[in-house]
Amino acid sequence: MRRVITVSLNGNAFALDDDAAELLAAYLETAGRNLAGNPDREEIVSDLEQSIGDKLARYLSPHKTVIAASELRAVLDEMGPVDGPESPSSDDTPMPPPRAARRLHRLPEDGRIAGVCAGVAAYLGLDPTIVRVLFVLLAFLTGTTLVIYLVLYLVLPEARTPEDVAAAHGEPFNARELVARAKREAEALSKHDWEASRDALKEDVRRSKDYLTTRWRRQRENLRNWRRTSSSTKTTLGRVLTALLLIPLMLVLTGLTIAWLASAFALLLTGTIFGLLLPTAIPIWLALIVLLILYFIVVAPIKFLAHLLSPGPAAIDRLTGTFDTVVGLVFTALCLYWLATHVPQIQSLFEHWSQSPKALTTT
Amino acid sequence: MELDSKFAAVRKGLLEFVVLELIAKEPMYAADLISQLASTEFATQEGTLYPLLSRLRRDELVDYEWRESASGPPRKYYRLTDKGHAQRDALAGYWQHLHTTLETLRSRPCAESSP
Repeated sequence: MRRVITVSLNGNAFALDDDAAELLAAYLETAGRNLAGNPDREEIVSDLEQSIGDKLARYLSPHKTVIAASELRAVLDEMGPVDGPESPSSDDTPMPPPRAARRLHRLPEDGRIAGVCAGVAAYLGLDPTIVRVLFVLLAFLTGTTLVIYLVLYLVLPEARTPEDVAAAHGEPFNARELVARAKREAEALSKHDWEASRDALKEDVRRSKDYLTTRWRRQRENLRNWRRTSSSTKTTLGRVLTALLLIPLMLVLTGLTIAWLASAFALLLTGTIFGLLLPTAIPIWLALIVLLILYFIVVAPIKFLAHLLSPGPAAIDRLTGTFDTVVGLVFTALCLYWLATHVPQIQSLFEHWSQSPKALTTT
Repeated sequence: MELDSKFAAVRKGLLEFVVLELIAKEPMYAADLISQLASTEFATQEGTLYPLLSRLRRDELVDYEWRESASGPPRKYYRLTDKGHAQRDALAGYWQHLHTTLETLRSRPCAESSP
């Protein structure tokens, strides 16, 4: 069952369903706003109402007396947006297109933890799952990802109001549409099974905890096994062979690390990768992340081999660990640099810091 | 497609001229104008046309009268005022002038344009 709302369009009554009425009210409100200051505003609006009414009549018959939202939307599409103040007549600069600016927000409502990934996804127009998977993948590769997450968590404003949420997604905002959306949300909320969702969340947390602990345990076991096998190859011939293999391996690893550092810097500073210009469709931050993942994929078998061959695996691990740390730190620094130069919020934060260090310390 | 977007502003600016030209032939109501323009490059919608007509009326270029229609409510039939006719002629003259300028620029020999 749907509620029906009767509206008067230029003196004629029309029965609209709930959603259609909201759409119509939103359209007429925008029209009225765009015509603000126009001396003929009332007349134009009543002409528009008349025309909408004429078009709606097509959808009505003795056996169909209520207008649905889809029908109303079709009519409004036909009407087109109502032109605002005419800039050609006045010599004003042309109005910027009415596109809502995107803002980076945390979206705790949509998030798994604090809504950082959901906010970033909304800002970039990506699926939150992709961003989440990237974050988790990077978190396994370098611990510094967690630092980035923490910084974003602290820096990004939480989307508190529906306006914030709309801004996070870059949706144009309209008071009527907001009311309509809020109503839908409230309805969904009242139907929401809170018990079930809490249980589901608990289950999620428990399962991911289990996963991480078993993974950690398996990792340690593997490490122990490799050590055992590698220590069993301690013959004189074996030592000579491993030394012969180990040295080039470490050289290759060093070379790869230096190559990674050089290409990451080149990517960020010149937008080129291995001397090639990055296609504009691929943003630099994505290329940077892909480069990092590539590095770890290429380096992993080398590290593994070195670990197996080395007579002192702990020392080798410490050495390769240092490489990882350097790469991780540089990656973090590059990411922070990119964020500072490309995300308006963080940019303004830096400006805020540099402009009024006193104001910040007093707060 | 590219031409379409390049000339969007030109078409928008010419809409007033086109509307004056159409109304000059015979008095018309808004829906009539929209259906006549629908198949042309100047296809427009109520949301654009109504504010335009209202401005033309404020500038005293057009006027309207209510006429009963066989089906439905009475309609506003727009017609040109004397000032509107003068404006239409001026616009047509200016358009011709623009066209001539363009032609002259195109046909001018290269030697003359380079110093």
